[in-house]
Amino acid sequence: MAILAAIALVWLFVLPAIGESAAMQAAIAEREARGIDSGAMFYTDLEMMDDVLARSKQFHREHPDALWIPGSSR
Amino acid sequence: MTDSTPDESQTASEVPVLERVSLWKEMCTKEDWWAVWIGAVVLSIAFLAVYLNLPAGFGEQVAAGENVKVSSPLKSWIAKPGSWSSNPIEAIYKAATTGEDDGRNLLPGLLGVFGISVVVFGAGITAMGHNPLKFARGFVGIFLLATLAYVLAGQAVVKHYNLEYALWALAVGLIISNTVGTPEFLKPAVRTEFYIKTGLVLLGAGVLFSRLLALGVPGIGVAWVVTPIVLISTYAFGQKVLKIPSKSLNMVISADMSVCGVSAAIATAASCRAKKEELSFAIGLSLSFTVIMMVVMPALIKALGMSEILGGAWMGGTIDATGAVVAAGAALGDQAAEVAATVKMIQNILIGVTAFGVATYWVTNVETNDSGVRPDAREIWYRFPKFVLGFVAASAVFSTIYAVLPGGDEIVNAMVKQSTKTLRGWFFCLAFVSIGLETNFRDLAKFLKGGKPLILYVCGQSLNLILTLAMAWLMFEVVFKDAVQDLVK
Repeated sequence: MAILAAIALVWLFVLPAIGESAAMQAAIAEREARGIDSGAMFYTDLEMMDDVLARSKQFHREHPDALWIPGSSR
Repeated sequence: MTDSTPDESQTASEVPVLERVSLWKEMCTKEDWWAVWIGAVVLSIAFLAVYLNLPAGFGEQVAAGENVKVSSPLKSWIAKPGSWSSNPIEAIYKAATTGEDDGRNLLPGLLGVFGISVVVFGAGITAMGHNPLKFARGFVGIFLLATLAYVLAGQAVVKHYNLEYALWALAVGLIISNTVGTPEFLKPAVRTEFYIKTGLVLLGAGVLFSRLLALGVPGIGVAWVVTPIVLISTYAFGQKVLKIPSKSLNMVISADMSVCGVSAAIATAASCRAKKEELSFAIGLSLSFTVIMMVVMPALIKALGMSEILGGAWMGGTIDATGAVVAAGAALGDQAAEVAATVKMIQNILIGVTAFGVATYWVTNVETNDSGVRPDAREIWYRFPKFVLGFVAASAVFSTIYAVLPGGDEIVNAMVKQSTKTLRGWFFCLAFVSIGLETNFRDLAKFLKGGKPLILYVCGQSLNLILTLAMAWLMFEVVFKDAVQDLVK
């Protein structure tokens, strides 16, 4: 019972109180706006990878050798 | 993985000769094969659900180079609890604010996952000769505990610091098993290896080989040249210098630290049949250092005046957890986040090769028979963990579909993102709850004596930091500097 009470205390009161601070709220909001999931275990869990991969694909289409042959990009 | 009781623990010289059954019987009754069948069925249904639901004119739009939105009809039936700030109910249900579209009702999705899981695992349990009703009864409890773990992990501050669901699933199980004891009715559903192996087969569908090419030579240099060197060196250091008694613990820590954190630890532990508490300990160790590194590394990079690109590549190749890598990269800037995430993605692709390599090494070199003679090809095949074949096959099939089928990239992405990745997460969560329910605190505490695993991690990570920085500097700041800058600008 003591352990359950401690978990409830931390998750229902302590952590929400920490989350109310301006700095924490700003950090969390920024992370969410960028589509970053800090708990992601694999790249498919990251929303931001769609844009990153689309840009990479576009780059390779326009510059096929740039990241394979040194000096070929310019 | 195996249990830790002394009479069941295995060393290289004590591996029993396995009872031989026919391949057909094996394929119908063995857990490894059922993980493959369940994975194959789930992936097939998930793929067909997307493919048969493609919008009209999809082929023409793809041929014209247009951006086409593809969705899975299974999306609303497969869900996990979301994030919340002060009210845990909001993880599952939140009423929409007046005038806003911010409501949430994940109950159908949670029930969908429960239904799918109890059916597929129940079928496997029945085929393996166990009582499906007892399993189903216990599974209700395990599923509720896994849901609790997700809710604990979804609290906004917890999520911000990358304290992911695996940790809480372990904690929930450990608290129960080490206080009131695991209730008897739960035990038929405590099936760690079954859940993990099935989850790994699903994970295989996300290991797409074309992703390797995203950053060209620089990405391969950091993620596929340095990583195997660090993995093998750390393992050798653990065996030859530290003389860590458990080879499997050594391998799991080495892979967790050098490849990509929890997902690599899970795959490696299953491949080398590590003990459950070894996996738990490795993950706890890795997550502890991850929290430190995701705060310290961005500050150090800024203090040293390193470029965002170099800093991102360095963090991508060294911080263990995928989510933490991106969060740390974002602390430096958008370019760092992009490079860090891409390097880590390329390391994620290494999981399949690592699992296959470790499984092969274990069967051919570590698990010798009583005479110390290396097993022949038949014995190797017999001992080889078959779920690894399912994992590799899923990767090969979906890499091919991704590359060859018109619109294959959109179809595979929709399938993974909107159905199979959520199921995969649930299966791992069920596995970690199960590990916790079967683990004694004393079994974990013994790894802290002497400090060898901690020394192994610190030394291995130090080597990782040095080699990754050197390779990242060479590739991203010297040889391909202009190309990478053009890519991320």
